[in-house]
Amino acid sequence: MPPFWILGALSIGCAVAWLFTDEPLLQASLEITAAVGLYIAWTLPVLSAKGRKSHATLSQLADSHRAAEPLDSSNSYSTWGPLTLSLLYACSLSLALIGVALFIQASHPILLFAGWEAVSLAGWLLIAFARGISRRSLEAAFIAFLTNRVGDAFWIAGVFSEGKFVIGVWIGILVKAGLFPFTFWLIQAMFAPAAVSALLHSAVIVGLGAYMPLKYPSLTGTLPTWGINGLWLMGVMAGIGAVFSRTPKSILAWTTSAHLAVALFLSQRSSESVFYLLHHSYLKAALFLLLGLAQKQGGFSPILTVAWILSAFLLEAGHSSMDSWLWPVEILTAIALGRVWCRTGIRSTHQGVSAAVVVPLFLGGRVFFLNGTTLQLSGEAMLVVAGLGLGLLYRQPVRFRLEAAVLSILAIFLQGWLRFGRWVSDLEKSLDIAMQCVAKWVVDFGKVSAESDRRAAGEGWRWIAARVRQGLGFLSGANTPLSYTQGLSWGFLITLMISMLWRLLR
Amino acid sequence: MAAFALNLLWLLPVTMAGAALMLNRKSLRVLTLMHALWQLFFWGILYREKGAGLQWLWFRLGGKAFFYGLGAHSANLALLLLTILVGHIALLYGQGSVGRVRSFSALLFLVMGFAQGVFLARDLLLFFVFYEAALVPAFLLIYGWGGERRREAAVKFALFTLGGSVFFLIGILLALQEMPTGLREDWSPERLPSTAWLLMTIGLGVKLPLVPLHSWLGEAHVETDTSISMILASILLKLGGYGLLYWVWRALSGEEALLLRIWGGLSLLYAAAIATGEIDLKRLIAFTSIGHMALVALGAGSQSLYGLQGAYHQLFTHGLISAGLFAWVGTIEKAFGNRRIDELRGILKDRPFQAVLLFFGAMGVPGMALFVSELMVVWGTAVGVGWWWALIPALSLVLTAIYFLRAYRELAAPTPLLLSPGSLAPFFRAVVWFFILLSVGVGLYPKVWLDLLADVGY
Repeated sequence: MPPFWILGALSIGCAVAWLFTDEPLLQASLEITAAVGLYIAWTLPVLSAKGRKSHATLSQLADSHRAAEPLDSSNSYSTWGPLTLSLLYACSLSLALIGVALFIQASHPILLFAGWEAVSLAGWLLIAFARGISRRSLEAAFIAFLTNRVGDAFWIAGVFSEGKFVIGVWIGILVKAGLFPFTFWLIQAMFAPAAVSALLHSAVIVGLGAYMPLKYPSLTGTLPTWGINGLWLMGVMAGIGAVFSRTPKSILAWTTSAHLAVALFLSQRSSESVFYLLHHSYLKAALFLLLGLAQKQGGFSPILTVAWILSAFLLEAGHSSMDSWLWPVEILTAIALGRVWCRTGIRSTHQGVSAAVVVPLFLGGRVFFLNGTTLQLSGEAMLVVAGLGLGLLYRQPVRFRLEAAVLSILAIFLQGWLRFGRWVSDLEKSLDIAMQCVAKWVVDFGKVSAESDRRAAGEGWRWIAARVRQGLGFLSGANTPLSYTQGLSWGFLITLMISMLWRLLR
Repeated sequence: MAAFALNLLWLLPVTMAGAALMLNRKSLRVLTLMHALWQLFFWGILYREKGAGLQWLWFRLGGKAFFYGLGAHSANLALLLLTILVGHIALLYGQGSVGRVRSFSALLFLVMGFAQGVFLARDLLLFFVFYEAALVPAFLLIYGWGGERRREAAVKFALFTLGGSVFFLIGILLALQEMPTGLREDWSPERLPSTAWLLMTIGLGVKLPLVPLHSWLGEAHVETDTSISMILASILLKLGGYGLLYWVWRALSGEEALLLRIWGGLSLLYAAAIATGEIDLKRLIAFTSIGHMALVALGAGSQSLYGLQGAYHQLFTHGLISAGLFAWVGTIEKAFGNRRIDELRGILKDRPFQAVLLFFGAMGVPGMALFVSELMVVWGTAVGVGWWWALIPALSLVLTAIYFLRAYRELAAPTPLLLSPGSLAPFFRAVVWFFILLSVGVGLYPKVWLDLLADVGY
């Protein structure tokens, strides 16, 4: 596949050039180019037409959940070829990475916000376009972007408040990280392809939310006890949501939400949360990519099964020594991850047998070195294994969507605002019409009054003229009409009399 | 040299208006291009000699002196450039599409010249004279070119703006009673009576527009030709905003600033609601202008330097993005002969990128010009009057996203296309790209413009 090799060569070239440069800006750009090129090279097959076709067969496997609904090609509305799509994909991913880099390195709130926003913009582009435009993709992208924007509005007011409105910053963090009441946007965002979900919706976008209190503690302050308890509750709720969720990708989204609640919880308690965040990002991204591969292959092959169980185990057991509070979250998410494998996976007997043989062998090796400590397959780690096993047994789908309530609240709000907008818009139009009516009345009134004025004036003049004529006729003789010469002589006479009177009076 | 450039910046377009009446379509294009180069050259001179001004005695009346004073300073340089860019591009855009091209060009040259005069004026009375003079050719443009109901729209425009001017004039007269001259240097805010402030704000609020006074805008933008809509949104609205910021803002006391903020906030919400419910694409964009200009009022009322700079910058950035939006709607209208969103479903099949970039640009995403100015208004409001006020401009981020994404979702909906596109000269698309690129450039490197605004204010 030529694009693969071209991009791979480009990435390797950039990486080599990076070794020999000292200029920081050049280094950074080479680094980004190499990373993005490598990432796209690996995820190109996901976008190819062949991959999409096999994706459609998966719809028979998974429930017809709306967010994970496969792309119906007749419903698609883009006429773009694979090249346009991959270019757009590359641009959007670079935008996401630039946003993250900006967020992490920013020293000023406006720059911080620019990074924070650039990532959600990239999220919109990837959800809307990465699988071609469709009604569903636009709706998912709309919900994701809008929810992020609501969070951003609170966040920016909180950041600029200089410590007076810290709760706004926290609302922004909760929305961006997709914690419990706001998980719905993350589940909608699962419409994006697996590679995008792996990068953005398990690691980068949501990771920024959890990273914020670690990087900028002066902006977030420390949470009170009830806040920390609230984070724990959000984690548990997300775990319950994961267990009762219906499609593989939304299960993964729910577990992401649960784990980010844990990361935030830890950020308020211990210094291990950076480790936890990185650990979670890598392994959850691996799980998303594994799921994507499994969906393309129509099920889990033995090697994918091993990789899945291993990643899930590492993810759940990676912090087993941390806090006994977190066990409910971990058990619930372990059950959920087990369910994903079970529901998407076991297509034949040999898969089940090989998993049953290989996984315990692998886990029995006791070779996991995490954070400098050896993990023993006893005690707490056994609980994780038990959880995963429980998930394998738990096959009954429960038709229950925890996020639906919040989503419908958002929908109600949006509908209400739209209706209000239509109403105001109609009002505006009727105001315009009313104004036109008033103007017409004014003009009509003007016309009528002008007409009547003209008429009145005309009649008045005629009346006065008639009176004058009558008077003059009376003077000149009762019944004869007034002639010109008579009038002139009368006029002369009157003038003469007035001037004589004038003379006498002086 | 600076005095030469200052005078010619407004005199040359006015003279060109006479010349334009005698030329044919082709030589008009050449004239427009040459004129654009000259104007850019003059602007370059003024940019180099920032702060240059001239001041000649105009007349004396009742012991007060009035000056013919022009100046290029931090507050107006960006807006002068905006007028040059948008004015000439609208001219070229219109020369390619409208009839009676000579009188059209002459009137557009007049609007341009008088708008430059408004931005340049340093004397309040001179400002008012230019402000009024710009209305007449604008009225004639709306009256003469556009849709079927353009005459009513033009009359409405004239009634509203002239009514506003009455308030503005009385406000000016009240204000001038307290001042020794009309020059801005002698303009001491403490002495301004609040009646004068209120009257001037109402007068300029018609042009900005603030909400109960906005009724002319929807009609005028929708009914008139695209190129004139560009001029209206990008230049004429800025006259009101600039007047508010440059002449009135300095005089605000606490209560007056509060009133301005409340007014701006209501205006923002109302415009957002209408834009959400609107199905006419051009009208939707017209109402986004009201929403974005409400941020100028909020920035002016924020009582902080950041807010003021943000408001000035908003005038410039909104000028770029709204010109792009109107040019884009013009291409849609030309290609499909329709503006209703529900009948245009599916038109973004092949080329969604202009719409995506423009819509996101108007939403104020990072990398586009509006981002910086909107954020500065939010920041200034938070710093100046407290975070709860900052929630209002921050709310505009959400509301703008709702109506633009909704419109996008409708236009890109995967339904079979009802209309077939007509042919369209590539120039019209190029205009849209020009404004998009300009907006991206200003958004990625806003330092040039923010440096210009460094000594604006007190």
